[in-house]
Amino acid sequence: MSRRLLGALIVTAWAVFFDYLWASGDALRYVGPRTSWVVPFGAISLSLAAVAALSGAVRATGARASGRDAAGSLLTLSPIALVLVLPAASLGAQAASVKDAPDAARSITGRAVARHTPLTLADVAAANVSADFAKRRGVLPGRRIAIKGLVSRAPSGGVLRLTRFTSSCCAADALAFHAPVKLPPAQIRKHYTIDQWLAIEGKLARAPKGGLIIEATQATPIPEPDNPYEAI
Amino acid sequence: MSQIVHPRPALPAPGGAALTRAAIVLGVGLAALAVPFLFSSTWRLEDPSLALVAWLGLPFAVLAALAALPARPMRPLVLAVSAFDAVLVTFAVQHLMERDLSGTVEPVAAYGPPALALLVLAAWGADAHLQLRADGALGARRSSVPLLVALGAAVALTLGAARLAPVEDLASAETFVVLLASIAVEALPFVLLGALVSAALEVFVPNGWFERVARLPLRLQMPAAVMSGFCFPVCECGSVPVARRLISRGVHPAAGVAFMLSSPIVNPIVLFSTYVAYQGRGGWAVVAGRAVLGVMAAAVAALVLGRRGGIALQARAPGHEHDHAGHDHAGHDHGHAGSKLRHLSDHLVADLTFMGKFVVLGAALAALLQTAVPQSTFAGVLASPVVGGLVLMAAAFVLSLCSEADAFVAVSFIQFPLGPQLAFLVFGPIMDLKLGLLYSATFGWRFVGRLIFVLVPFVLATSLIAGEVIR
Repeated sequence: MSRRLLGALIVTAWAVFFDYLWASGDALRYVGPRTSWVVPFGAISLSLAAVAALSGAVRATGARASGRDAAGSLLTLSPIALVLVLPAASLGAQAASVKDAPDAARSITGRAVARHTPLTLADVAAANVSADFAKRRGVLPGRRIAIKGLVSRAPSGGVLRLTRFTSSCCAADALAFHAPVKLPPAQIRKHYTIDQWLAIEGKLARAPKGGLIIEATQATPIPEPDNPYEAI
Repeated sequence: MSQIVHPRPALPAPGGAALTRAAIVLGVGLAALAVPFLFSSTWRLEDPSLALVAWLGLPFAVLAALAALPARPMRPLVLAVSAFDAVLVTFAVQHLMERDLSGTVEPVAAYGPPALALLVLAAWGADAHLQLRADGALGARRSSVPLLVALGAAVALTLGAARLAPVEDLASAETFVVLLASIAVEALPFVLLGALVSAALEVFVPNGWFERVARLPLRLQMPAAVMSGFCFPVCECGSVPVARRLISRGVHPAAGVAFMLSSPIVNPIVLFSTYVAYQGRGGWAVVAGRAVLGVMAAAVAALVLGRRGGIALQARAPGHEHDHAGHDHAGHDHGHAGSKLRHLSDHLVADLTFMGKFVVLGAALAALLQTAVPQSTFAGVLASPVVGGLVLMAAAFVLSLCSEADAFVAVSFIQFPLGPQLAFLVFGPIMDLKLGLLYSATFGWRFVGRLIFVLVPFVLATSLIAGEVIR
C-alpha cells in the first residue's frame, strides 16, 4: 500500500468517526457544551480533507508505506478502535474518585446566579461549602428539587452519594460534584448499583452532621442521559 | 512497477494423516465433555441438551476442522492452545454443573465456546503464517490469508471480551477511553486547521515572500511573529505545523518558535474564554496578565533557544517530504490550479498524519495519568506560592488541556492564589505532555529539555509577580 493511500485512509477513518459523533449525538460524551462546535467543524473539514486525499491517492500511487508508517497509523487510529471496543464508555464512579478535586464546589460559588432556575447537583454541592452561595441561589432546606445523577457511593444507612460531572471543554476537564441523597423509606431495601443513573425527586433538608441532604420522595433508575454532563 | 508473482507451493491433498489429526482433536474434545458426565451425577441428572453439548464442543470442532486442513503438522503453539481449550471447556462444564441449568445460562457457558473458537483460529492463523514465512512461501509479501484470519479472530475476541466483561471491571478502562477520545476529538480539528494553514503557506505563498521575510533582521521578525498570534485563532496543536513550515521556508527559527509559543495564548478565542472564566474574579486584568506573560515567555524562550542556531528542524519531520511522484519541486513551482490543490491535499495529509500520532500519544499519556492519579494529589497541596506555582505547572503539563478551555479549569483551583493560576495559564499552552511529544518530533528532545529549563523559572517568577500586581 502506498504511503499516500495510507494517509488518505487515516484521514477518512477520522472523518467517519467525527461524522458518526455528529450524527449520533455521542459527541457529548467527549466534549462539553461550550466546545461542542468542534465536532461538526471537524466532521466537515475532515470529510473534505478525506475526499481530497482519497482522490489524490487514486490518481497517483507513490512510495510504499514502511513498517514505521503502519505503526504510526495504528497509533493514530487507536482512539477510534478503543471507542469501538467500549462504545458506551462514560465517566462514572471511578472517574469521580480521581476527578474529585476537593474545592471543585467552591469554584462555582463566586458566579452570578439566577435564583429561580431549577437547582442542579452542582448547586447543592456548592451550597454545602458556601452559606453565601446557598442564600443567593436559594439552595435552602425545604426547597423542592428534581435532579439526575449517577450513584458513586453505595447506600449506607439509607443514604447514597449522587454524582454529576460538569465539563467546560472536554471530559479531560470534567469536575465531579456530589450530594448525599436519603432514599425514601419504601426504597431503602432496593438494590442500587454503583454507576447506576437515578432521577431523584424530593426536597432539601438539613443533614444530621451538618450541610444539606436531598430527602428523596422518588428515586427512579433511568438510562444514562444523552448529555451526561450538567450545565452550570 | 509490476508485482513479482511467486508460485505458491502446491497443497497436498487431504490424506489419512490429516483425518487422524482431526479425529484426535475431536477425541480430546469429547473426552473433555464426557469426563464430567461420567463422574458427576448432577450433570447426568440435569440432562444437558444435545445442543448445549454441541455448543460446548464448538472450539474442538473448529480445531478439528483446522487439523484436517491439508497443511503442515500442527506445531506446539496450536497444540498448546488446544490443551488450554480442553482445560477451559472442562472448567466451563464444571461451572455449569454447580448451577441450575434450567435457569439463566451462565456467561461462561454462553460465550466461552465462541471465544475459545476465536482463540483457536487466532493461534492457527499466527502459526500458519509463521510457517509460510519460514518456508519462503510468502515471497515479497508480508501478509497472508492465515494472518488475516488471525487478526480478524483477535479483533473479534477483543471486541467481544470488552463488551461482555462486567462494567465495574472496566471502570478504569472506560475513564481512560473517554479521556483519550475527548482530548483527541478536541485537538484533531485544530491540528487539521494548522496543517491546512501550513499547507497553504507551502503551496500558495511564493518563495519570494519568505525570502523577503527571512532577510529582515530578527528584531523585526520577532515582534511580527509574536503579534501575529493575536489574529491566528487556533490553539497549541495547530501552531506547531505552521511554525515548522515557516522555519522550513526560511523564517528565522527564533521567530517561528516565538509564533508557535505565543499564538496559543494570545489568540482571540483563548483570551475571550479566559475573560469568561474569570468574570468577577479579575476579568480583564487576568486576561491582560495572561497575554503579557505569554508574549514575554514566548519571546524570551525563542531568543534564548534561537541563539547560535539552537533551533533546528528534525530531519524526519515532513517539512517537505510528502510524496513527490508526479510533480517537480524544483523552484517550488506547483503548476496550475488543479495541481496546486492536489499538492495542498498532499501536504495537508502529510502534516496531519505526522502530527496526529503524537497528539494521540500525548493524549494517551495524559489520559493514563488522569485515570491513575487523583486530581486531589495536585489540588491538595497547600504550600507557598512558589510550590503552588510549581504544582499547578506540573498539573498543566499532565492535564494537557486545550488552551481555549484551560481557564475554566484554572479558575477551579481556588485554593491557590492568582499567581500560581497564571503560571498554569501561561505554562500549559506552551508545554504539556502532548506538546512535548510534538516538539520532540519537530525540533528534537534537546529542544524540549532546553525549553523546559528556560520556561519553568521564567513563568514561575513572572506569574507570581503578576499575581501580586493584579491582586
